[in-house]
Amino acid sequence: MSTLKVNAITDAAGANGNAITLASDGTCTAKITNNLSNRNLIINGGMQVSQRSTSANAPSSGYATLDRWKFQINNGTITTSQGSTAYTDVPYKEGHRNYLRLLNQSGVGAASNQYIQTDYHIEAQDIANSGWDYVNSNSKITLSFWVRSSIAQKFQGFLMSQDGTSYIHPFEISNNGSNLTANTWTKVTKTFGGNGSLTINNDTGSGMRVSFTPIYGTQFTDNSISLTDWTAISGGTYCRDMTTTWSTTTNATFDITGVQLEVGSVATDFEHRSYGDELARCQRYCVDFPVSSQLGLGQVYSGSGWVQLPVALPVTMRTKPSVTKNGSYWFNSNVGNAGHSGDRTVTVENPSPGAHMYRLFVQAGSNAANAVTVWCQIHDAAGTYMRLEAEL
Amino acid sequence: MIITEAKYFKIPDSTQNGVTTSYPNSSITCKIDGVYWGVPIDLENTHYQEIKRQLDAGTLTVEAAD
Repeated sequence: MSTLKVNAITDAAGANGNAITLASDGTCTAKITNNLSNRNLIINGGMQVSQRSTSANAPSSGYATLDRWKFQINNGTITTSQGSTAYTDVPYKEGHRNYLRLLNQSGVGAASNQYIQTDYHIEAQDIANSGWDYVNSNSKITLSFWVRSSIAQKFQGFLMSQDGTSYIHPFEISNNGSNLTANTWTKVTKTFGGNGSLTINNDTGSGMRVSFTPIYGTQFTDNSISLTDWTAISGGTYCRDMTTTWSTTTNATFDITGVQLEVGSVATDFEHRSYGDELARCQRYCVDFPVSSQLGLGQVYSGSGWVQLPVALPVTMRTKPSVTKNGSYWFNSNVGNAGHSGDRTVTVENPSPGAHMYRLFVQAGSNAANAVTVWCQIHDAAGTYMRLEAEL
Repeated sequence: MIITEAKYFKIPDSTQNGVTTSYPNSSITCKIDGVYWGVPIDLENTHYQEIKRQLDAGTLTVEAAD
């Protein structure tokens, strides 16, 4: 090994000052032009935030466990969960304590119309304002992630534009072209150029989808699809043919973590964010009010049998959210010392999307006289919640 | 996405200074894959996008509000 001892590094012309200036204390000052902060376009790529649940059966289409990670399944039972890395896992040493797991609980099979995937939808304006010149093939974005499977095989994934005509850019999830080694973490890096046909709006809709697919049946695959450019979706082809071992193996697992998508042709180190920062970003799309949450004061509305209840949000949500709830007695309303719980209907009402506060309408309890002020809370029975979702 | 028991919701009429105000439909309550949802009538909301898609396709009907 040799050591280069210099005070500065400059470009060949030398007319623009030092690119790197080294100080006598071993530190340096560098003119770095990469966007170093907020460069990861993926929220919760480290799989830290799981407001809904840490383990659940994946829905046919929707969100179940880790924030921002959507599931789509045609048939069968897939359990999704937030796993914890061990010190012996390579991602652990890079600061990843969690991963997303897909467990093929039932051996879902490999029918031609089968699909199992986890998707990340990037809000369009986050891509549009990222600095990626997405219509220019020389402008690059780079996707990097850690992946582990209990089955030694290759998998497929793809980027998919969402505005205008959808274009797709498949990629292979492999160990430099070879099968992943079973039960071994592998770092995968893929770089994508822009394409003059891509459309990405500067709005709050979905602008780009990143999909990881443990299985896509032959109805959705074609080995002739390009792995090096964008292709208009035609005939329902999304990626190349896949090995079906994972999908036909009961209890096979597929794990990912450290997902980063950044502008540029190089995968930089994963951008670690604090839990609080990551949670706040997730709450633009989902705000969970867990068991026993205190919602505050509401008022019985105009003798209608409904309580109108202002709810403050931690961040501005992407758009006017849907509301869901769980529990036979999920809503508790108190007038003085008298409390009533029940499975009440609830809706979100608000004249302007993008607000920090929404007005909920909740069916009132039997003690709700007109204009009475009531104290509202989520009931304290285990598993009870109310949730606002503005997901993509 | 299986949507059932869909019903419009509108804010109940209110009366102030003797004047009654009525409101249009503002949400749809329903079950999506068996789970209750209150979905605002908002084209940016992805649940509503799916409800509208099924409505337009004629595969879903929504009961009138009370």
